[in-house]
Amino acid sequence: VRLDQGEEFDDFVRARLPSLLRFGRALTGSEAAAADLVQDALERTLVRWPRVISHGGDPEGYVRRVMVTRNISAWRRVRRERLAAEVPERVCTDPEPAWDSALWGAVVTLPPRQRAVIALRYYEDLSEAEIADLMGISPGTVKSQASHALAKLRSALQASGAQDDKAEAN
Amino acid sequence: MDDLEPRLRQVLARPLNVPVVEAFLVDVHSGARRRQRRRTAGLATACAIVLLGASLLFTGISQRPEPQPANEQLARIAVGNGPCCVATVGDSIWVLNLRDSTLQRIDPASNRAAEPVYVNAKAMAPAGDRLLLIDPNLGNLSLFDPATENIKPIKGFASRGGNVFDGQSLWLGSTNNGDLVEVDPTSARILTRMTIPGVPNYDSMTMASDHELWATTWDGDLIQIDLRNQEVVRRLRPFPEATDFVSIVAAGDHLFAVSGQIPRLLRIDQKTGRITARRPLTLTSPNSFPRLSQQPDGTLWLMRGPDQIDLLDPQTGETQTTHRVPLTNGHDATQHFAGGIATGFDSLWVGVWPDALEEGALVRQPFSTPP
Repeated sequence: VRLDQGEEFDDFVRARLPSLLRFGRALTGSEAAAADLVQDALERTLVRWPRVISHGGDPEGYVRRVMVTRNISAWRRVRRERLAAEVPERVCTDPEPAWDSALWGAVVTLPPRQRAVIALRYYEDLSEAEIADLMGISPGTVKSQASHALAKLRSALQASGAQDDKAEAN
Repeated sequence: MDDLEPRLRQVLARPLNVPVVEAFLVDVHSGARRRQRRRTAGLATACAIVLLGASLLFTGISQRPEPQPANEQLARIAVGNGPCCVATVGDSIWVLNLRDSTLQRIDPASNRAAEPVYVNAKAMAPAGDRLLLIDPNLGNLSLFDPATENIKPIKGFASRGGNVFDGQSLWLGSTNNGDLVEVDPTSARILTRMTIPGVPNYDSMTMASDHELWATTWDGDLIQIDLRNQEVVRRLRPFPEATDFVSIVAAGDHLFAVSGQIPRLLRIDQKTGRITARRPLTLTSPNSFPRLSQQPDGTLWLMRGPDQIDLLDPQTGETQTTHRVPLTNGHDATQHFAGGIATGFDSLWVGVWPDALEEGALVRQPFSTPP
């Protein structure tokens, strides 16, 4: 691969970086982790750039696919290390100003695969079949993952609302 | 309807701090160069090892290792993109290519693949001498006759979920409600329709006898159903922590189940519902789910990744043989999805499914069904 063929790649990054970072934030739950994930995916894409653009020319789809698989791999590695830990997973909050923080706080506690399905469905607007294709799982699994994720979010929002009501009453 | 979905769209698309693009690009280019150097160094090391091995072999110092039958490759046949499902029907092997939505016939005598036929399906399962095709967008189901290549739609029932062939009939469970139908695979007509109280939906399904069905639901329940009395006999939750994916197969007196969340294989006594064996699983790719498959010849298989498939003892669940599948050059298991498998013609057929940029392949390895 000739890395000096990167002009087209650079243009692609300039045009799509904000969108990729948002997608990365939805996958990882934080802006810092999103930047790392996007950089990792773009490095891998650049190494294979001539092939990426020679097959139907959907580099963004390719980068998204790499991000999804790399993020789940990373999570699994971390998870294996933490299986014995008794400390429950804590909500990670961005330093940026809270914005619908209850919902975002619930989103970041979803398992990575469910979060990926949610991000692809509600940020990338992909259909269930497209998500299944991208993640290499069956459409039924996509549907069940989305269903579980939405149920968890609703439940978390209800719990959060109940806490707010209690605090207000006190 | 609540406002969760529009809120989700807003929260996911909210503004963020974008780093300086040009600085980001410098980092990306620099990282890519490092990757390329590592790759080149890795290739050089691999070449050196191969040359050293060859020279040792030539001078007679090295003992030639015994060939491992389970690693032997009889053929590697180019197929379409995403060979997710493979089946043996009649005198042929059939491959469904998920990304192309095409079906391809493979001639086992010549190892040649016929031209792919577009079928608008993204999943396939054998049903006797027919193939069940599933269109996940609408949940449409149809039956493909390999002899005539005709397709008959199954009218009056849609599902993206469980299906199982009991030797005569095809049973289909609804993913949206508790509907369960029995379908004649030849005519594609619905023979029986029922709703079992307490079963909200169907995911994986396996048939234990002509009237005993096991099914998983999306809530993580494992349910034993008596089809004669149309009632739930037993409800288990073998993976309390898992709700996302369970694959089940009934073999003899046991039911085998695997989960992807914390990968392990369970053996469950069908009569008592007790777990009689647990085995942690090591996956070859963290991106893969473990998956069980029972072939029409009765063999039980466990896919531990796109490149490793275990033949299991149907009584104990222990691994009898491990088939290692050579993947595409330069790509490891993490860059592949797990393709479909089928047995037949003294072979194991494995769909090799690399990422979107590569065409798929069907790898043929020697395999004889144990007596």
